Amino acid sequence: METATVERKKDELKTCEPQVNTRIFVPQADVYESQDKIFVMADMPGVSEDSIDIVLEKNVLTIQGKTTPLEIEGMRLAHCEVPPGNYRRVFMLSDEVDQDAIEATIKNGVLKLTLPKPEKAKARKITVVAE
Amino acid sequence: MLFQELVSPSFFDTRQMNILHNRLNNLLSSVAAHDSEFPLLNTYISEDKALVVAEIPGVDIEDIDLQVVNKTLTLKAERKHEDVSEDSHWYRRERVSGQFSRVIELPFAIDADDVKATCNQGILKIELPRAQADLPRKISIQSV
Repeated sequence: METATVERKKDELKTCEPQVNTRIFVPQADVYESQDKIFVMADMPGVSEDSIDIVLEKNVLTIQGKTTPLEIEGMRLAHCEVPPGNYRRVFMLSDEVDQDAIEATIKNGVLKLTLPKPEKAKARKITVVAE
Repeated sequence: MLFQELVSPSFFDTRQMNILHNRLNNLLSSVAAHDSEFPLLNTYISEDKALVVAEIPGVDIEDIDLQVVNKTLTLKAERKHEDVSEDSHWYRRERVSGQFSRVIELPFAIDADDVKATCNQGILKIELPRAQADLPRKISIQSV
């Protein structure tokens, strides 16, 4: 390969996202719907409000959470059930969601998304008028 | 071949049987851990202390109960349901709730007075110092 091409490849490598060699977990989630809202709850322990990333693109809602691996010096891992890793899960939204009004909160490692339904999608009771 | 091995006394060698037993146990425990256990936990150990890190998302600190007896740590927790209004319905329910308990056997006795536990972002860290009486002591040898 020519030197110029090699240099360009190197530049490309620098600009793309650094690869992280960790696992990606799919957080367990609850989804339920009330009359005017849809709620999504996802278990993401170790994720703070700064390390969470929620992206909405068209109807695809992606939640990503980064965890910082625990730095423990002078101790050995004797038993491991949770290897280090990040969280990622993708949800498809229906048109019945007011995309501008989505709210997200995180508490005790549980992410809660509130997806309000727009006015027109709300269930309405139709009163029957006797003629 | 196999028949010969079976009848030979070395096949029933206890040491080998123990190794086999342990391997089977490890295999089974690693499968179970990801299926139904809650909370999941990691255990770190050094000469003079142990650290247990448990993932307990959605559990309030008041609902955690820790007990230490000798070598054993018992972690009990309760994860409460979300308050869901009656007219709502579920699409997906993967997050388990209710009461949980896990018992962790450590390789040494614990100084129960000095156990520290902190909880942040759904991760519970329990520091368990080794009991003084249980610490290894160096014995000096005197020449006669």
